[in-house]
Amino acid sequence: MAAPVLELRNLTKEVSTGSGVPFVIFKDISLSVKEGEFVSIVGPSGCGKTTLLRVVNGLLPPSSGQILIDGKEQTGADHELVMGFVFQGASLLPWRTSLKNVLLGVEGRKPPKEAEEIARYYLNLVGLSGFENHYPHQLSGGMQQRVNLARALVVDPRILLMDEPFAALDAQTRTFMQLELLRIWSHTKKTVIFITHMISEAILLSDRVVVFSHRPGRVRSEFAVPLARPRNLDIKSDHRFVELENKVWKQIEEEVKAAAGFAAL
Amino acid sequence: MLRLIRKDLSRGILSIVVGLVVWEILTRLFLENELLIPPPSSVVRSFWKLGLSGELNRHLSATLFEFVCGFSTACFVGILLGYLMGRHRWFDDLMDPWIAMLYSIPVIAFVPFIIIWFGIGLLSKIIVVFKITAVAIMLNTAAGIKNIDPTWLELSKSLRLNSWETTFKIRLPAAIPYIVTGMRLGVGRALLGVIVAELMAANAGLGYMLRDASETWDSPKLFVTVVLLAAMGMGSFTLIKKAEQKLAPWRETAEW
Amino acid sequence: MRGMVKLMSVLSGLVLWHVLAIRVINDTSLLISPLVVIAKGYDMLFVTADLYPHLYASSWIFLQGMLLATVAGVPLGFLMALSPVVRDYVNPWMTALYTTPRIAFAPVILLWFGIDMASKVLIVFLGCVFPILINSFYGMRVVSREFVEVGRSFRLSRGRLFLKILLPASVPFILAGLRLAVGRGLTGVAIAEWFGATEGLGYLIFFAGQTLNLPILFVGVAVFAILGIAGFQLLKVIEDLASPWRKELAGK
Repeated sequence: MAAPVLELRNLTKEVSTGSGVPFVIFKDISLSVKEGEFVSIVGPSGCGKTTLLRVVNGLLPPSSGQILIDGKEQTGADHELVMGFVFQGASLLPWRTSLKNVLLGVEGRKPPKEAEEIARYYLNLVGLSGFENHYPHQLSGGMQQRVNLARALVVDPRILLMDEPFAALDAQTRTFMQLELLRIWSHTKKTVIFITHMISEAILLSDRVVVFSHRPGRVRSEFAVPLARPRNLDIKSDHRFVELENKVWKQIEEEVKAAAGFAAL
Repeated sequence: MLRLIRKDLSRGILSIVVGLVVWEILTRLFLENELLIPPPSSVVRSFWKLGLSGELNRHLSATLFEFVCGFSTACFVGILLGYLMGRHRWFDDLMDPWIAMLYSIPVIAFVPFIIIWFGIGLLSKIIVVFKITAVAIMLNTAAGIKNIDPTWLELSKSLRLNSWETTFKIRLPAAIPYIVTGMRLGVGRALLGVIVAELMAANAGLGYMLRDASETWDSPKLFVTVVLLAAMGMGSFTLIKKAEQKLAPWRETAEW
Repeated sequence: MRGMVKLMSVLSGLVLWHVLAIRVINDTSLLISPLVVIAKGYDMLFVTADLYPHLYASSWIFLQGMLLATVAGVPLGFLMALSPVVRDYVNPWMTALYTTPRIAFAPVILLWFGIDMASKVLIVFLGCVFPILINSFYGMRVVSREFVEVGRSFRLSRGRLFLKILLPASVPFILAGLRLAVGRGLTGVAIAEWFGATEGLGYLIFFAGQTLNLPILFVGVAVFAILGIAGFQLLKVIEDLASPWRKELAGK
C-alpha cells in the first residue's frame, strides 16, 4: 500500500510563557491522511486545531514530533510548496483583482501566459468566470472565499488545508458554499484537511471526522463517514448522518464541559 | 444619486457666487479706500495685467518648481526611510526622537536657518519643502508598514514568497493608503513652508510676490496672489484626494 | 531597552552636532554647538530672565487663539454634521481657507486690523479652528449615526439626546482635534509675530534670524519644540483620562 500523503507523528506544540511553565497548545498528535481523502477536524474552541494547521503548513515550527509528506520528513519551515491554505477571513489583497489575487501563487514560478491560463481555469472552476477584474471589496463574502479557494488550488497542491473557511458567512451562503466545495472537490480530488466548528458541515463534506479534545489538544477519536458520494443535502436526513452527528456532538459536549474549569472559551 | 451630487455642488457654487457678488457690491458702494479691499473686478483686472506681462508666469513657475522638486524627492526618501522604520524596531527607535523634534518645530522657526545655510535661491526652498513633506510621509509609511494585516503576511509565507516578493507585492502595496494620507497631510504644510521661505528671502515666487505687493500697497495684486495660493492649495489637495481614491478604492477617504 | 536606544540616539546626535559645530564647520555664523545653546538658554531663563516676557506674550496670543477656535469650531462643526444644508453652503469657503497657506492671509489681515493683538489672535485662530472644526464634524457625524437610534428607542428628547449622549461621545474626537490644533496654533503664533511685533517667541526668532544671532535663534527654536511636545503630551493625557476605553482598543 502506498505511503499516506500526510503523516503526523507525535506532533506537539507549546509556547513559553513568562512564568516558565510552557503553555501546551496541542500534544502528541498522530494522524495519517491518505491521498484524496477529505478529513475534517472538529473540537471545542481553543483546542489548537487552527495552530495545528499552521504547523502542518510550515507557518509555525512544531515543538516536537514529525511531519511526513509522501513518507519524507519535512524539516523546518521551508517546505516546498506542497500545500494550499485557505484562510478563514477574507485574506485577499484588496489592491489586486480576483484574477491577480489568484495569480499571486504562480506568477513568479511560471511564464506569464501559462500562469494566467491556470488562474483563469481555477476561477472558472470555483464559478467566478466573469469576475476576474473585480476587486475584493466589490465581491460578496461567499465570492471572496471562492477566490480564496481558487488561489489555494492554483498552486496545484498535494494537500489542501482549510481553516474554518465558511465560518464568517451567513447560514444560507454557507450551505451553498458547502455544496460548491463538494462539487469542486469532486473535480480535483485533492487531499483535504478541513477545520470546522459545525459538525453537520464536517460530516457532509468528509470521509473522516477527527474529534479533538479540549486544550491541550489531543486526538480523542476518529469517525469514518459511511455515506456514499456524490452527496447532496438529502443525506442530512439519513439516519446514519443523524446518528453520527449525535455521537460527535456528545463527545464535543463532554470536552467543552471538561474544559469549563479552565479559562474562557 | 446624481440628484444628490448636483444639490450639494449647486449649493456650494451658489454660496461662492453670492459671496463674490456681495463683495463686489459692498466694496463699490461703501468702501472709500480701494486699497483696503479691492472689488473682485479690479482683482481680475490685475490678474489679467500680470498674466500679460509675464510676471505671473515667472513667479508661479518658480514656486511650482520648488514645490514639485521638494515634494517628489521627499516622497522618495520618506517612503524609503519610513519602510526601514517600519521594518526595523531599532531604526524606528533611533529616528523617533529626531522626528518628534523636527515635527514640533514650526516651519517659520527653521526657515531662517535653512536660508543662512543654503542662500536665497531655489535650493533652500526645495529643502524646506523636502523637510516638511519627508517627515509626514516617513511617519505614515512607517505606520502603514507596522499596521499591516498579519493575515497577509501569513499568506505570503503560505505561498512561500521570497522576501523581495513579500516586500513589493504585499508590504508596500498595503502601505499605500497610509503613504497617500501622509502626502495629504504634508502638502498643506509644505506649501506654507515654500511661501514662508520665499517671503523671507527670495527673488522670485509667489511668496516674493506677496511681499512685493504688500510693500507697494498694491492690493489687487495682493489679492491675486492670495487667490493663486488658494488655488494652489486647493488644487494640490484635490489632486491627492483623487489619488487616494484611485490608489485605495477599498478605503473610505476623508472629505478634507 | 527601547528607551535606551532613543536616549542613545539623542545623545550621540548631540555629540555629533557639537563636533560638527566646533571642529568641522568652524564658523559661528553657520552653526553653533549645543553647549552654547544650552548656556544661552540657561542665561535667558535664569540669569537675565529675558525669555519670560516673550514667553508670556506668545502664550497669551496662543491661548486666546485656541480658545476662540474651540468656541467657534466645535459648535460649527456640530452644526455642519447635523445639517447638510449648512455643510453645503459653508464647505467651499472652508476648503478654500483650510487649504490656503495661512501666511497668504497675513498681509491682508495686517492691512485690515493693523499690528495690534487682534490680528495676531486672528492668525492663530485661523490655524487652530480648522482641525477643531473638522474633527468635531467627523465626531458628531459618527456619533449621531451610531446613537440616534439608541436615543429614539429610549424616547429621549432631542435636547437630552444631544446633551447626554452625543456630546459626551464626541469628546474624544474634539480632543484629537485640539491636539492637531496645537501644532498649527504654534506655527500661527510664529507667523503672527513676524510682522510688526515687538515681543514674543516668533519675534525673537525672526529678530535673531535677521541679525544672525544664532544662539538666540536656537534657543527660540528649542523653546518652540519643547512647547509643542509638551502641549501634545498634555492633550494626550487629557484624552486618555476622558476616554480610557480607547487605550484598550488601541492596545490590540
